[in-house]
Amino acid sequence: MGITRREFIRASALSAAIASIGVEPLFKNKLFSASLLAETWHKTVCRYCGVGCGVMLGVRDGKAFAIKGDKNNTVNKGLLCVKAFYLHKVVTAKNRLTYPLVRKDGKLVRSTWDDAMNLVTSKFKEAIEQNGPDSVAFYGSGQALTEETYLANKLFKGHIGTNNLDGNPRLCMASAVGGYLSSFGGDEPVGSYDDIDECDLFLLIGSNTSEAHPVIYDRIVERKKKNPQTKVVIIDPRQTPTNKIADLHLQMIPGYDLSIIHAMARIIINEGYTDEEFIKGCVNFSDGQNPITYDDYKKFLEKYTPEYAASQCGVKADDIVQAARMFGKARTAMSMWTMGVNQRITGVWLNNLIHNLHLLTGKLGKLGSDSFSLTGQPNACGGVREGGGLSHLLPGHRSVENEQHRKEIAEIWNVPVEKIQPKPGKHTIAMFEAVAKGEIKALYVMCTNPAHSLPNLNKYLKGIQDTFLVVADAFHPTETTKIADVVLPAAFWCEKEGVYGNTERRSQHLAKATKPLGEAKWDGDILIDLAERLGYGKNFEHYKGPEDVWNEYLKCTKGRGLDLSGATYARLKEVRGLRWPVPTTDHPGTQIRFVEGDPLFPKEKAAGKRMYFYYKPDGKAVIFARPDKGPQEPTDAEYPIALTTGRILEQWHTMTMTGQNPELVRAAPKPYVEINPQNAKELGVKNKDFVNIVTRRGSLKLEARVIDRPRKGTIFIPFHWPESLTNLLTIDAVDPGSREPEYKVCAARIEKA
Amino acid sequence: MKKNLIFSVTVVCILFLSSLTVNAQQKISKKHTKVDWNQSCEECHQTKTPKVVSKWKFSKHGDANVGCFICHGDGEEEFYSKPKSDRCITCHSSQDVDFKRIKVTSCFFCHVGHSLKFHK
Repeated sequence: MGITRREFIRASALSAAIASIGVEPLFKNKLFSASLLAETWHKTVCRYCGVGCGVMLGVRDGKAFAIKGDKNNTVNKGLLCVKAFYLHKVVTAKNRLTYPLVRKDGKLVRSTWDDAMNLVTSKFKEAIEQNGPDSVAFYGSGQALTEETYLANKLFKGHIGTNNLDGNPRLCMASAVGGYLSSFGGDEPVGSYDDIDECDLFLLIGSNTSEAHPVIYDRIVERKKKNPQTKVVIIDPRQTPTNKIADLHLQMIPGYDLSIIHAMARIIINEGYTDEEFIKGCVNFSDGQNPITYDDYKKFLEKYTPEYAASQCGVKADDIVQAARMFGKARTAMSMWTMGVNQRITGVWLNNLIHNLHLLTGKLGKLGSDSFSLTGQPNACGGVREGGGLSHLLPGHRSVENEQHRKEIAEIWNVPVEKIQPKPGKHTIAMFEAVAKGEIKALYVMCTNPAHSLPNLNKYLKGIQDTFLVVADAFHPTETTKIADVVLPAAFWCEKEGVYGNTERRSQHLAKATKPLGEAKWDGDILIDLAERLGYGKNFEHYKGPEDVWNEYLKCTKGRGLDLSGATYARLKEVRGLRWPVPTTDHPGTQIRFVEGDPLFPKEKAAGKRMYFYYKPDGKAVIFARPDKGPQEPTDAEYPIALTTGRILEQWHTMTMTGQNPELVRAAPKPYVEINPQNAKELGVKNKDFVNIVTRRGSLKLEARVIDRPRKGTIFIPFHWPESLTNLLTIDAVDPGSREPEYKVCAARIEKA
Repeated sequence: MKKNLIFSVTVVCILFLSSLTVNAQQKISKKHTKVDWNQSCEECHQTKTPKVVSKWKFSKHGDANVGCFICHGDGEEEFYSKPKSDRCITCHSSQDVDFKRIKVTSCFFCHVGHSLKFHK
């Protein structure tokens, strides 16, 4: 029995009526769809910056289909930035690598896992046998999971026996690490994001927060709206979108800001904004070599009048005075900084000087006040700084040079203590210098793109190409995979489970929501496989998955300042992360360190003092009298323009991920150089003209964007585009303490193309 | 009984097919004009639709640099001349409301496009 024409017309009319009164067709009904297509949402963390936003990833039919902010996560409360908006689409981007590649007759061709790993193993074995363990190296990433960095560390430092293991946080956060260690005795911030909501004065130095840490910026904006007394002072050579909330901007000549901070300190002391009780109880003074007295420090500061600082850095003396008074008078104050401070040859010193302001005023260790470094990458803190993924570190904030530390880690790794070398290995620039000289015969690169992101690229590219290079990455081609000998397809983000530790010491769990694409494997499994093939299986074969690795790593943190013993997977899956120290599974985590409430705060030793910096022998932090040194390469007659480099909101690093979203590419489709209108007029350059930007290291042809952002005499180039490698121009001079390169300033000239 | 069943199934099929058509229509929305794609949305629209750009610039999205492409797609590969509310929820998941309860059909019922001002 079929349906008549009259019945069909009736059915159509009824359907139309149903649709018109807003009853969704069953197909679009959420419950109906969910039951048919089994839609699940997974709690995880954004793949991009160090803010560490909570994200919910929607999976349907085994594929990531949607993303939204996790409204229950205190970091971002459901908010996302534009990059994360499209993160779910990156999972199945066209440039995902789905099978191993091996170079044969000059070309990368498809290989099997077994053949690729056999080749890697044989090359590494050959290098180690013929030239010793230091002829191989590992270069990792602040975007790798903590478990992955931990495994690499265990393999290279604990079994192969080389400390030539470093990571890209050397290029971004090393100076912040150096600053925290020297000033406070321990790495990472004292406070947390909670301070933002009580802060009355934000000092943003070398941070374009609205583009580099947008969700933090939004939180600052909200604070300003809720509390109109809140002020924002910016110290930056560029006007940026962050200026929308600025009350005062000291737009200084790049590389000359140390004098500003010293001048502020001098005013703070002279005009009585110090917390003398705090200084007496909690602070020592040093000139960097020897202890000095408070009076010595005051004498040191006499040179740094506002007029002197103004003459050095090109800002008004009155503005420096105003900045100091705003800082001093504020009930609470937070300094925030990122690459503008860290990527300098005086990066550690500048970090010290910022800490000085907080130590002088006592604006530290209380809600709303903090000296708060903004971390760039999602797991530079968790995986590399805490996990020991730099050439001088061991897991749990330990040092290879410390005998007791080597003993403790050797026991956990089940290796003879002699296996771990006491001498630090090669930091990033030294590593790639050794690669360039042919001293490193085999290099394993994981989750990063040094052939794009290293400074002074021309110096290193050939060496990287000539050495035996293995790259484990989720994406191909990148500048680094293109010149590799073996490229191993790595699982990406939601295809693996693990932990990220963000800027505010919060360790958060990332769920495995989908299967790895094609033949891609978890980086941890690749490293375990390599360890087994190199003959070290005994200490690696027991891991059944990332949780086993995490549990072993927790042993490295037990009893230490970053105790994560209470951050088991079971707990991390339930909560939206935990801030260490979190010593037990019923501990809520620590909002502020070095004060009562910190589980490690030694009440008796502190004897009534508000703060006790328990990493320091006497519990006191250090104020440093550092000279106001300028950049490695000041401008001169031949190269009269200061070049500074950085980021834009819509792109992440070398565009391997965000470059796959056409929407994000649309924001800035092609490379450009920002030129101040006064400079442009003098040179006869109009907007969209092509110019050559020349430094002592290279030259790039770029489209001019004439805009009143960089100060006169300064240009700005984002470093994202692979077709226009900004780092051909940048300088690789490093901070002598942190070994972090000075990406933020070098000398250039503009030529009309 | 059988006749009623066939009738009901027919209604469901028509609804199903019509929703597919609607979906297809939503996917293939009005196409963006062919332009030089080597420029950002803002660069072109500053001269083509300056009032719209100005409204956006002074909106909360403009403040936060949430560009045109978030709501409208990149223009070339994907384009939504009138974007849907489900895009809003991606970034504003804490504002996921029950539209039926507050008697509106989308975020844009209250938050005017571009300026995002409430009702105006």
